[in-house]
Amino acid sequence: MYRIKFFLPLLLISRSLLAQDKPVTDSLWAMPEVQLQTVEVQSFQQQGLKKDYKKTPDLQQPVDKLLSGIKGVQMIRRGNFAWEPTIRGLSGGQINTTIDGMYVFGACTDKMDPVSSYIEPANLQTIQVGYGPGAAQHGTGIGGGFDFRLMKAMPDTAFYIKGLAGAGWETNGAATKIMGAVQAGNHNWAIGANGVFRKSGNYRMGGGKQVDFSQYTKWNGGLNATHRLGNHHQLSVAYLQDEGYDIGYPALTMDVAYAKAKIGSLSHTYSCGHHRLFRWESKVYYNFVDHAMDDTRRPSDQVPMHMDMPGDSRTAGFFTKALYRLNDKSVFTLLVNGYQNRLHAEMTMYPDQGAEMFMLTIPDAQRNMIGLQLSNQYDLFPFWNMEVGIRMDYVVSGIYTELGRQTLSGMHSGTTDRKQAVLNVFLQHNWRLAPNWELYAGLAKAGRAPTLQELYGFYLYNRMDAFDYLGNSALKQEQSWNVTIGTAYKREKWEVGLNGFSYFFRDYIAGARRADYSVMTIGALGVKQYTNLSGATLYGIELEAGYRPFKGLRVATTQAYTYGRDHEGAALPLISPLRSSYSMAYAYRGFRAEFSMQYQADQHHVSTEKYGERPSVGFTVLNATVGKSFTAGKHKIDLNVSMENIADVRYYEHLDIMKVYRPGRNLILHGTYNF
Amino acid sequence: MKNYFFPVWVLLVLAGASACSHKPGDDPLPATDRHEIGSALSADQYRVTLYADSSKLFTGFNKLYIKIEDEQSSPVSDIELSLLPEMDMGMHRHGCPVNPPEYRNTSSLFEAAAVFTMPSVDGDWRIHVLLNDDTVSFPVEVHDFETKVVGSFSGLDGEKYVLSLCRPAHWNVGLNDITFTLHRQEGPFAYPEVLDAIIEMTPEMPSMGHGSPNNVHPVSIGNGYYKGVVNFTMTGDWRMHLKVSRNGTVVLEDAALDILF
Repeated sequence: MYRIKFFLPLLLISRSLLAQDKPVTDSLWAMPEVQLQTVEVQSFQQQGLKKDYKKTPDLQQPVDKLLSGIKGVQMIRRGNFAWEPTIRGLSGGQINTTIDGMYVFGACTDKMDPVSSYIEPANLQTIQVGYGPGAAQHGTGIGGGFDFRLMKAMPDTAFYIKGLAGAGWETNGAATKIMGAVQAGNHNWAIGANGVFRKSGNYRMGGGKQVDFSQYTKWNGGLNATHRLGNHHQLSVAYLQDEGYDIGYPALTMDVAYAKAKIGSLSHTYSCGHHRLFRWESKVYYNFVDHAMDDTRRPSDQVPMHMDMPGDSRTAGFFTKALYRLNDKSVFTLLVNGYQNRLHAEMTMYPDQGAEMFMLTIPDAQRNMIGLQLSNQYDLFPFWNMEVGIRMDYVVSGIYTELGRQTLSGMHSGTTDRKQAVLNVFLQHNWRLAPNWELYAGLAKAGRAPTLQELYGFYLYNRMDAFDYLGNSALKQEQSWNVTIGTAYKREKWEVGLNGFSYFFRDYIAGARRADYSVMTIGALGVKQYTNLSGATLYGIELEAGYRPFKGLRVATTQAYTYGRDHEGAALPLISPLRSSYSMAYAYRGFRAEFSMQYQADQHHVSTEKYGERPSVGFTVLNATVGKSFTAGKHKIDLNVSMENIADVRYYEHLDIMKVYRPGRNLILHGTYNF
Repeated sequence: MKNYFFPVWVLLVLAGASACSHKPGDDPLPATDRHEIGSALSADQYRVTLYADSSKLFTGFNKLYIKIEDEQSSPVSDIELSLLPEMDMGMHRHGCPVNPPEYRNTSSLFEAAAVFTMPSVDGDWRIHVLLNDDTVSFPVEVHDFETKVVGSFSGLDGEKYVLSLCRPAHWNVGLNDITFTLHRQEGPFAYPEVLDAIIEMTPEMPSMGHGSPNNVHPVSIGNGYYKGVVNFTMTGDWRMHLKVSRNGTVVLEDAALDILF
């Protein structure tokens, strides 16, 4: 596994260019390296053949910032906490988010708790990113997704104990953080524990004005143990708990009293490097997410009526994944997985006069999914390899309580139960035209079942367009053809990569106005119901280049542009304009420094009338980091000083809901001790 | 008030005594479903027992059940029966809309309904049961229901209308059948049913200002009843705005009745 020797946050390297002598499949499925120093981002450039490794030695980077540094990933921001990731303009049900292959679903009806908000870098080892259906995915999906691989202590040849402790402080918002992790093991067993606590007050935007309701407090802890049974078998248990309290969402009308997740699993792994069946992992899991919104801290003029809005999500599931090497050239992957997810969300309203009102906003919706996926990676020739795969999901959705059925009786005629078979097929080719020049092309037929919110949501208020959204149990599955083509070229001192992609949607799911329905939320502009648009199209181009004039210095840039429109030519919402980043990084003997610039253009390609999105103004933001690692034996101290938004620019990104300004100048100190 | 309570008390005791004289199993009534309001003997020695769906009577629509038994305690069906509620306010008296008693073989009871237009506050209600040429009277207390489920409205056509909501045992979130009664007030004791009205129903939550979709306007199903479907998206206070038209012209612009559940 390639490791970057100098500090370059999220440096992009084409794996197959660097490891030409090894068959691609060999290291692709290798066991993750056990380490505490870094979080690794594996970005599956198309269907898993070409992997990009990016690492950050700063373990204290929050997941939101790690994600937003990944190519093609943009974050929808509703506050200073729990950003929602999008991949190339796709989000929500269009992407799969799993933790160690486990499905977890956020409990909030207002998307305040994306799954990534329940993970901290302290318990994270790898973020795998995929850009379409592929072997890296655990379900059908159009836009790929994320798998957050948790850090696990692994048995080793001899007894070991290692750990870390860290603390961080930020001037903006007076944010503090403490974290710690410890792992111990010997030949037959290993245990690990990790925890983090972080807290922030209200931050200040560029120019110094305070952003009210941007505070948060949270802790996260993980425990795991692994026992080796013989040479090839391992049993593991893992438990993760994450609890956030008093979390402000300045872009929304309510904050969060608490957001809690409890995630547990039991897994068995068989691995035998030289056998044909060289890896086989099976897992059963359960998770519970409990979430409650809170409006009691808002000034009374912002709260026309006090409401309690709790919600919860329960998921039980399993998967079993086997890798079979037919010969040196061909590896098959078989994945069978399934889950049951139950979502409940309710709202109690307390008017100044009159009786309190109660309603279900997600009327006890349930989804059972079972899926079968088979893929093959095949080296046709030394210079030409391919991946081909098929995935079939059977998705059964319905309502599990009588009250839920009654609630929907006034909206949906007939049965609300849905059974849908969803097919994904993917094919990717990779050609090495020259030892340092690679070309790849991928084609996928993707589909996804509508989410439970899209099927059964009951007056879910969307702050972006100020509409109440109703589910539609008659929705068809959303489908698309994904096409990608790209190339990468590398010389000793420089490299460049360019790729283009498009998604051609059919039955694109979006809200359509129901003029005959009256709003439920006070102040809402109207009611929309999810419907299938006949089509939509998404195009994009991504460019990255790096130059290394001498050892230790690297200058790099990435450029990304995405364009989306629906069947009527209206701009799709939540699509970033042109984004550029430029960085110059230097590393020498444990010292590192980086200066970077983020640029985003204006976005005028919006449909205010149809999707409620307003144009946004571009920005340029400057950041700098210096760090030094001191090593003495197995002890290592890592100090990091960063300044974000050096020029104290007042800015927001296009995907920021309600255009709430982002933090102004912020000095960040991180110190970590490893042993 | 006091002089009014006394006879009810006596009647209830009498009713209890008469019930005790029955052998178990003789009574065709499922005891839990209906509540006895009163029981008395007519001059012809018929025992007249009045029941309702709950132990209390409320303003608005109340279903009433009348059991007539002969001296052998056998149910009587072939008898001329009518119902006349009367409000005595001292200075004047008036009645209220009634659905006349009809005998049901299934329950061996006469089923009727009365739409009490006011509670027993400014006067006393009595229910007169007229059988053959005899009259049995039951003083009753009509409690003010917690929401406005009945109203007397002056129509734009100069008529006076009584509109009431038939309350079901319980409301559900989502779709509910909903029934109203509509009567015209001709005189203090004359409330003919209105059969030809067109009603437009618009539910609203007054504390939030919103309505609900997919309601079905009530239509006349005979005997002054109008039946439709209402969609409650949540629990709480609901106001039914009813616009009533007759012969192509609007007679009530906004007659509102309230539901709380």
